Amino acid sequence: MTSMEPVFTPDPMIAISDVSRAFKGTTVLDHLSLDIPAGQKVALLGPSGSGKTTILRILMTLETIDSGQILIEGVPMYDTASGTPHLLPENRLRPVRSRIGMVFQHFGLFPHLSVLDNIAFPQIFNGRARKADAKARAHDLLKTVGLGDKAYLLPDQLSGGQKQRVAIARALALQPDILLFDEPTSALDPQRVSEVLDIFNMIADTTGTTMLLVTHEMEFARRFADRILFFDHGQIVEDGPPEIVFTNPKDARTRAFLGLPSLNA
Amino acid sequence: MTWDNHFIILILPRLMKGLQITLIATLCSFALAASLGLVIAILEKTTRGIVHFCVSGIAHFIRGTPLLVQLFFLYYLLPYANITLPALACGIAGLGIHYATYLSNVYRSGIEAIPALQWEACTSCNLTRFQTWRYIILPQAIRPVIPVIGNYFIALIKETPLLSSISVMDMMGEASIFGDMHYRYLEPITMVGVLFLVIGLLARGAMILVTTSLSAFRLRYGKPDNGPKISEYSIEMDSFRDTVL
Ligand SMILES: Nc1ncnc2c1ncn2[C@@H]1O[C@H](COP(=O)(O)OP(=O)(O)OP(=O)(O)O)[C@@H](O)[C@H]1O
Ligand SMILES: [Mg+2]
Repeated sequence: MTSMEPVFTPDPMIAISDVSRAFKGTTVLDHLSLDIPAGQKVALLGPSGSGKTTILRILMTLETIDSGQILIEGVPMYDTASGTPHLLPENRLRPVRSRIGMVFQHFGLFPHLSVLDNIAFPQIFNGRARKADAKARAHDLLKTVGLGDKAYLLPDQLSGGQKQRVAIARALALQPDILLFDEPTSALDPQRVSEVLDIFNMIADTTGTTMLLVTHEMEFARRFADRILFFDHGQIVEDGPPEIVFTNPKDARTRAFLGLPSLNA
Repeated sequence: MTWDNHFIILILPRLMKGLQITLIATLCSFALAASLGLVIAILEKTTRGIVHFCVSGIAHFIRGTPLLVQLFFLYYLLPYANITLPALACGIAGLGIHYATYLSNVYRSGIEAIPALQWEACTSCNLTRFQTWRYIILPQAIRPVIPVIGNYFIALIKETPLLSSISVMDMMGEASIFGDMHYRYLEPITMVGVLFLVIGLLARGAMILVTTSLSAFRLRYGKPDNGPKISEYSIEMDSFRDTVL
């Protein structure tokens, strides 16, 4: 009897199914499939040019795909009726996109707005909060990321690490279910890196946000992630928890990248 | 022919009437140019295919033909299409549309200077197209080109005498009528020249005020902790002087 009952499996937060993408004939993503359950903390590693940033950009709808489909908790991003995928029209895409936030490698703060307004305005524009509430929330978030005293500066008056944290606060303010980070530690000195790690863990613990992070720093990935994906030539060559991927990867390219001796040597 | 102050007294009332028309023509056509130019720049950036081709084709065509020809077209040929506009309206439309095509290029340079990351940041914050343009792109694009727009404003002032060729009674129109009546051109034309000089100086002064208050606004915006960035402020003023004065 029990075997006949349907098993309830929730849709993964992100389902990338058979996605390919080429730039001017060069394949960057090659029939990539990947499910990420809600609340998972995923680190993407891989050599330069392997397509890590491209995946984040595709999820943020900044880049399109040549074939395949992407589902956010079961909701498609692409219309595939004609065979080739087309991004949904803006009015249908916006609800999907509103669930996703991104922190860019070079931050992308709005230089003409104060730090506070950088965080408050997107909430107002999205109808998430009215002006006073949005500003109050922005102040709170700035305190959380340790920039409570910088609210009225312009972004250009901040250091790289401070801009980074403003960008994180801006993304958090919109309460996304998915947060994408492109090399969040590249602008930071080692001490700041562990501060950012603390912020990320705090986000994960308090909000349960699904996080997808591209990094070149093994140590950061190991301490941050529940799951490591190792990328090469647009394909996932290694997928598993950090303990296993870092100590005993099965793929030769991963072993080479991590400086481990090859298995058949 | 020697200078005779008597004629100055005679012509002054007419010139003052003409001055009003000159000012109206200047301000109205500049307002038209500034807004239509922005519309053209945005259309050129947001449209594709045939619409884009038409918009930039028309803009190129207007930019590439003489203003005088366009004025004659509006004034003498539109009536054949059953559109009859008063001379001043034709003049404002002609001058405004002509300068709109110049200003659209200026706006476009400002828009294209915005890094792609700004657009992407707007997408990542899920802003609508309108919000992106209105609150993020245009404020950043327009501010740095304001001195250039000011230069076009001054150039436009100096083109208004062309309107007298389609019988608009601006300063130039009044002066040439007066000249024809009294066979006396020295004083009227000199006076027109002097008045244009004064208007031009006033316009330059106004532009300095606008640009300075914009910088001051920026200083106040960024001030609370670090204090004003005086060095940046003076650089802005310097480059402004270079382009305008
Ligand atoms: N818009 C684009 N036009 C052309 N080629 C592109 C474009 N975007 C990415 N590429 C190419 O796709 C490949 C993958 O780029 P991507 O930025 O995803 O790599 P990455 O894994 O993030 O590398 P890195 O670690 O250096 O940041 C590169 O070869 C890049 O040149
Ligand atoms: Mg990258």
